[in-house]
Amino acid sequence: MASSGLHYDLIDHTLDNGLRVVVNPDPSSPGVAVNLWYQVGSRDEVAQRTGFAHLFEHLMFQGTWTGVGVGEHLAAIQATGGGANATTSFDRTNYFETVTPGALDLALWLEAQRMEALKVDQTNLDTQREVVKEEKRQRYDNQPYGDTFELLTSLAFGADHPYGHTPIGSMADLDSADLADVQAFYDHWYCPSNAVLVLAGQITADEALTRAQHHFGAIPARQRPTRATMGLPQVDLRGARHVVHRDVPRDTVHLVWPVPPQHSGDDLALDVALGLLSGGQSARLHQRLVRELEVAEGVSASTLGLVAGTNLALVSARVRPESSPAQVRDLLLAEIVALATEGPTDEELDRADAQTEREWLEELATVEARADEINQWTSTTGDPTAINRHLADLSAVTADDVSRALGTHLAPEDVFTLDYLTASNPLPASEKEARR
Amino acid sequence: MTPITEPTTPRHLRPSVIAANPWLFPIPEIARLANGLEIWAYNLPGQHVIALDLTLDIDLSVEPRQLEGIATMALRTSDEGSHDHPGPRLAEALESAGAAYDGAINHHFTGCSLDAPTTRIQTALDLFREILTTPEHNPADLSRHVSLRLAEIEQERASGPATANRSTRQLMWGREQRRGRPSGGTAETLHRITRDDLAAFHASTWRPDVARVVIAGDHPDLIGLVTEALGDWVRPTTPAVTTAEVPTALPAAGAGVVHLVDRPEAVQVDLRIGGVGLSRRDRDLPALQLAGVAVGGSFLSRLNERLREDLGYTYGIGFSHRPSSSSSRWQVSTSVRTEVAADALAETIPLLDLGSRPLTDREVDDARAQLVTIAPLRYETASAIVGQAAAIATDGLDVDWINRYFARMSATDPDEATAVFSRVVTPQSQQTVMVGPAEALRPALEARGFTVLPHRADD
Repeated sequence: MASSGLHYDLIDHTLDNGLRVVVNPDPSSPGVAVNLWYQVGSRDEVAQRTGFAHLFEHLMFQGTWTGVGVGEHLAAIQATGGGANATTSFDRTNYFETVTPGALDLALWLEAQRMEALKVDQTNLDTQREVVKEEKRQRYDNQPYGDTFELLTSLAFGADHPYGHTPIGSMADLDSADLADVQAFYDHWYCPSNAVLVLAGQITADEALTRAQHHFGAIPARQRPTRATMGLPQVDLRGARHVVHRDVPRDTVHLVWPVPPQHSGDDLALDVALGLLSGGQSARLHQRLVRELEVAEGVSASTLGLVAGTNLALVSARVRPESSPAQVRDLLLAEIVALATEGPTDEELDRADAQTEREWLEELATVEARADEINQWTSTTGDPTAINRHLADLSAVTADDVSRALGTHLAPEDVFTLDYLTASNPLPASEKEARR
Repeated sequence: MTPITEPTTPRHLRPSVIAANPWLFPIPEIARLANGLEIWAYNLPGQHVIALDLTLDIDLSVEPRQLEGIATMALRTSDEGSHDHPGPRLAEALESAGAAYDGAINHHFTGCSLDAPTTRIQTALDLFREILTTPEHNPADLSRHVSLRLAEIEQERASGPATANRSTRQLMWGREQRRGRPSGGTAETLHRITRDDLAAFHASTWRPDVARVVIAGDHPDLIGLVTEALGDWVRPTTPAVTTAEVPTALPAAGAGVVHLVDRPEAVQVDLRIGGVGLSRRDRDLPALQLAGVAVGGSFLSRLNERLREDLGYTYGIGFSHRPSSSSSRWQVSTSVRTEVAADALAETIPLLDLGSRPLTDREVDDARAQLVTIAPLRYETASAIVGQAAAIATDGLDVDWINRYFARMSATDPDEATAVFSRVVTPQSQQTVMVGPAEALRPALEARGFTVLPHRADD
């Protein structure tokens, strides 16, 4: 019963050069969010060039031929009392600023400069390459369990599939990137027709469109680059089990299924189902495995949010020392089967609804997050107004939808299992790589 | 079209920035109930999720030494069932009300937070009262949370950054003071805690006369809501324990000494440099915070520009300062690859010495923008307002403190910022910790003239 009735005004306009602009005027907001999505992510990288989209994201802060200095983009925004950042995913790269209304022109101008006139030289390529390698060490290589996602994607998709590597890429590939690659990547992917600009906050629609036209309108049009067709995973791991040993404190079990991409098919029903399994303390997996049976220290269930071809659903549990990965895996599967077979109760669905509503309201409470959410809907589905229907659509998911989605996509016989084990827990050789 | 590959003038001149209007942190409505509970309430139109923080003055030094971690267990078991909603019924009821309950342990207080949509806040507050006043304290829940806390300790041991933070705490406050020991207890103390200990600790410390509520959201009568839910929370007849340890920092080894924790398998070194900071009551706090941003709080701060943007040694390096009632501290944190760790430290130390290179007008103006001009954006949501106000309230400061703090900051010049930073961050006051492969680090550090002292980070 999504009751909030939130409705955002959304004005949608495409400039002559192909840049799509979506505005959400919100006079009650203290600032304005500028949010640009470029349709390029790690899935667009070619062999031996993994990590390039993300490395490039760093280079977008290294100045322009039109007078923006090294690091100045971010520093200049901070000096107005605003904030800026960027992120790279499998599917896209986003750049964003949140500023006071008096600094909006500067933010737009800075984005327009780097859309058209990015300047990268050997020195800052070399430096940012090292920075990114430190980022990889800090966030992944020096962390317990840090290689989990790299393993999961390469195993589940096959290393040569566009989704078969993570956005951070490999050290060897980062080392081999050269200046010509940078320029070619920029020339290919960074143009008005491959971007969506969202402005949200304290600005009128007319003013926003006028300013967008002023700063971006004269950037020459280029044909939108085409992206590679996303095939099915290169491997069929249904029923397979893969075991790795690492120097970590606890065994962890990951159950993986290929599922339809985000914004297609059963994805809403699947999201609701995964929420019923793991969203919050009252969810089934926590109640059963953590609280009642005390075999797991924690559980989670989600998808990777991939938008083309195939997404992955992932159910994970950290195993308590007294228990075993095999036992935990069986219990996880039993709970999933039970939910698929019996379906959720009305009370469970109502609870999931109430939680989703609060999370959605909190998510959209800042203009920065809201602008990014609007851009996700626009860039991925083509329809920004879907944001106004999302809660109602989730709320319309029925018990039957949940059962069907789980039965279809998370069948126990189709699961691929990754056992991520402590070094001190060697399984018998016969169990390693065991196949169905 | 031909890509631009040489200097050119931009299509439009770089726009100037129009200064933002001055902004004031909102002033709450205040009430104190008969049971001693203090309430700060911010009615914020448009904020459809109500945010609430309740803080209890429970300094961890009041925990019995042999039962340390009991305050953490009291918090973590608090929503595992109540008298009226036993076991999982409580979490189910909370989640049905669209509410999220969470908690945080600080060395000087225990915090409980509740978020719920305005449409369901009354139900959520009724359940919140049950959490505060009639927790079930089921022995099975206590035992499970002890096990989970032990698992957490093992995970922290396996983490380089967590090991660096733990070492900093040990070296700064020592194991003889509560502040120097782990807030969540150790395996030895946690195993001793019984259900009766937990109930007794809860009864004597979770009480309205040491608690305050900060609440914000779109509602015309927030005080009324809280009064109705918590007005009959009974104040115990026994007086609250209010004597808390005022921790004293141990003498620091100084900037030439590195406490080295061996983590042979690490592919990166975690570096911390820290020292004693200033409390919110210190009139020099605004100057220190401004200087901290210029030195290590912005993208092109002195530290980040040198270590990241010039040298590529790190993904990021920052200076932070956390004011607290009695254990304020400043810290420089970064992670760097092993080969350059000694160089990184040698580069960092001179950048903390502002004597030879005082802060400039430009640096302090930019820092002011990041701390003062940004305020309306930073405090855009109910939960952001509540988080800041609760920190002030818990420190015993008044509702307008933050505005006076901003005003002081606006009046601070570079000389003052430089002088305060130089007084607080002296070479003698610095405690340096490195966590990484000792075999490689020790000779590299010694070659650069550092004295290396091995440190074991076990609690």
